[in-house]
Amino acid sequence: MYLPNESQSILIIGKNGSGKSYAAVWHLAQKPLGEFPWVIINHKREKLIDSIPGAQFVDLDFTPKKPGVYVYHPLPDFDDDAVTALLWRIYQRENIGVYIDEGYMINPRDPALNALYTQGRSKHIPLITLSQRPSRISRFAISEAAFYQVFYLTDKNDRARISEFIPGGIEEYMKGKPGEARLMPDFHSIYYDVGRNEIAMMRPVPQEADILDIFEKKLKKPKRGVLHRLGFL
Amino acid sequence: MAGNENSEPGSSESRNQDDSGINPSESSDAANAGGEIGGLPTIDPTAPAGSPSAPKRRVGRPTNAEKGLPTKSASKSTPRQKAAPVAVNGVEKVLFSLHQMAATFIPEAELDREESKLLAESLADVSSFYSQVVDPKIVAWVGLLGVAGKIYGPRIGAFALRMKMEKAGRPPRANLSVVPQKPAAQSAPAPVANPAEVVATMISVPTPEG
Repeated sequence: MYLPNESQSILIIGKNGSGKSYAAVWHLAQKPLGEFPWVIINHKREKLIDSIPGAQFVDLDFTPKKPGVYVYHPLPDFDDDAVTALLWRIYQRENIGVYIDEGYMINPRDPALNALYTQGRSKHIPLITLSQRPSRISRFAISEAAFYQVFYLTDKNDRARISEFIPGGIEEYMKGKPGEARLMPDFHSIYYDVGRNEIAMMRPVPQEADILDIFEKKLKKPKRGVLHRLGFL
Repeated sequence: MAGNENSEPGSSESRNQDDSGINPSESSDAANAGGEIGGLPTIDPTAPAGSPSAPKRRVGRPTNAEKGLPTKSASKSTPRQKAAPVAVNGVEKVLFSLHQMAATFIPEAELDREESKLLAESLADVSSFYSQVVDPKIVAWVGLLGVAGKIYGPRIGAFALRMKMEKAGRPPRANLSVVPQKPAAQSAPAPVANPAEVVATMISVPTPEG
């Protein structure tokens, strides 16, 4: 099984506490963070995101140009226009990754967001979208994803919606009588690669400290002299 | 759901605050039962890269096939062209004109053609060890800018100086012009005057007295 590449998007869904934030941050840690910028829209100020070493916390009017991780903290509703403007700037600039911590915090009809979902692949704008409720996010977030990672979902409607996009559905993995174990264990997820039509069960991602260590290594800036900068060394 | 004793080596203790109602001990047993869960093969993000259960990471940018560009296999039929070395001649010209321009202000900076060639060749030798090749287009542009600077720079400087001096009421120096003067065409030598004719002319000039 493959992980998304630098132009492919992944949709990660699961109920609160299912482990999707850890999985998403782990996915981000696998990216070549030294090659181009990644923007994180962290509406709910997820602690794991805010503790990424080397991440820069910036205002919504800032557009990143250099590689790295840039965290935005928009206020729900209040900053919607500023978020839309940011997404349009990313759309124009291209080669910027976008991580949306709560997909439903952005209006599903937002034209900039849908432009990223539909044209992000050709513009090298990979997206990592998280949501607790697939029925409340843009349909393009689901239909245009190249990978799905589905953690435990409580709501039947949510299961039904995501099952439309995964062959064989997900229902049987989430069923379980009270007191009995479900087929899909805790913190595990169904991982589906749309392009290769491959499906697997992903075990839990590494611990928080291990994930943050990856960022530490990738975002740590070594001191470089003039010769390094000129490409001689 | 505190005290989740998930036996997965990679599971995070901080995720134990789960309210999903899942029995963690049973579910983790199921997870460790083998390489399959519910008929699906498992992948382990905590496994070291390269191991069968580890997810594979696609390194770098999307492939050419994904970008709609010719693929590597398609280009196999034609041998891959070696990166063109830096054109020594172009660099030589650029170095020469840049130093000529600099020599307007610092006479010691002037290089002759031979020195420029040596420097350009050495530069090409060094650059051959690096993958980054200077685009000939850039070399040509830098060359153009250098030559333009060499031609127009001194003229603009002279013009500015002349305007300044004229404003100050001083006549411009005769040798102010930096425009290289073409050597004057060799005029035909003036015929040597006959001294007798010269004297006769002087005598024939009427004087005021009569």
